Amino acid sequence: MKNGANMKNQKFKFIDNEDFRNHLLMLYENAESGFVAKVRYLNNGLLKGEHAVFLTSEDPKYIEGKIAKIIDLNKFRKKGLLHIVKIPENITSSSDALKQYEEILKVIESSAEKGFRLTGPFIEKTNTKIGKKLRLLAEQKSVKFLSKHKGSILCPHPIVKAKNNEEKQWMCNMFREHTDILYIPKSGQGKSFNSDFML
Amino acid sequence: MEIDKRISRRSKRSKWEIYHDILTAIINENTYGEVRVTRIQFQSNLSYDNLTKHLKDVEKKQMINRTPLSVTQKGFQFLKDSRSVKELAQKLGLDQV
Repeated sequence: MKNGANMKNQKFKFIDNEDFRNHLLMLYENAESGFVAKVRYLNNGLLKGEHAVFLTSEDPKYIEGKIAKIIDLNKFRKKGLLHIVKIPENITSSSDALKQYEEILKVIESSAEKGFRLTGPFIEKTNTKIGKKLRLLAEQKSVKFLSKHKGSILCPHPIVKAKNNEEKQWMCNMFREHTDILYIPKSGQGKSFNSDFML
Repeated sequence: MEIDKRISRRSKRSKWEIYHDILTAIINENTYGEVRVTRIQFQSNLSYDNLTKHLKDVEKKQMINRTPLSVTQKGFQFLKDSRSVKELAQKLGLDQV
């Protein structure tokens, strides 16, 4: 893909909206589109001199290569604004997981005076009960952190049809912990709206 | 047969469709002056009890003002976004809660 081609894609233009509040839930159908949207969101912050944190369970070098296909990384490399942070792929213990997330937030707190943008998610696998519980706990930590610090967090989640009331309830709790929804359909334009509208 | 289909469709309206119908009815009625709850009830095709319940919901969500009955800026924004909201709710399996 030509460097920067995705930044011109009108499908993702809504991500440049400056009216978003600070805790965004991005729901996507296609993982590749979700990735491009995350990079665009971080790039908008980098251009303003904000620190950008990309959490991933994949190899950071591989992710850096993928990001470099979308934005001009050299611009930000020298300034040390982009941080690709490796997170464990499988998290089973809630106390360990939340401690790790707190540590990441502490580093942000000490280095990102100008503001920051973070995209994860910190808990990737939410197909188990413990995964769902941890994800919500991490989101609550984010809300608390955002209430005291200048910055925003974009939390991606794939669109999966809820199979039962428990899953529906979990999804509604996710909406409650976020301020805005970024909806990226497989086809057509992406859209953002108030998370209240989903409740 | 056609009538049966329409009745069945109406009974399966999601809450987002109901909110949409109520807000649209309030806007329509506002153009004629005073908004009467009975007119909103008629236009949104709801029983009085159901309308009262949904009006409370949209008021709590700050989509309407009660005195006088009118749609807020957030309500107008909801109408603008309702198609995407409904589409996403369907994809997440939340439309028939």
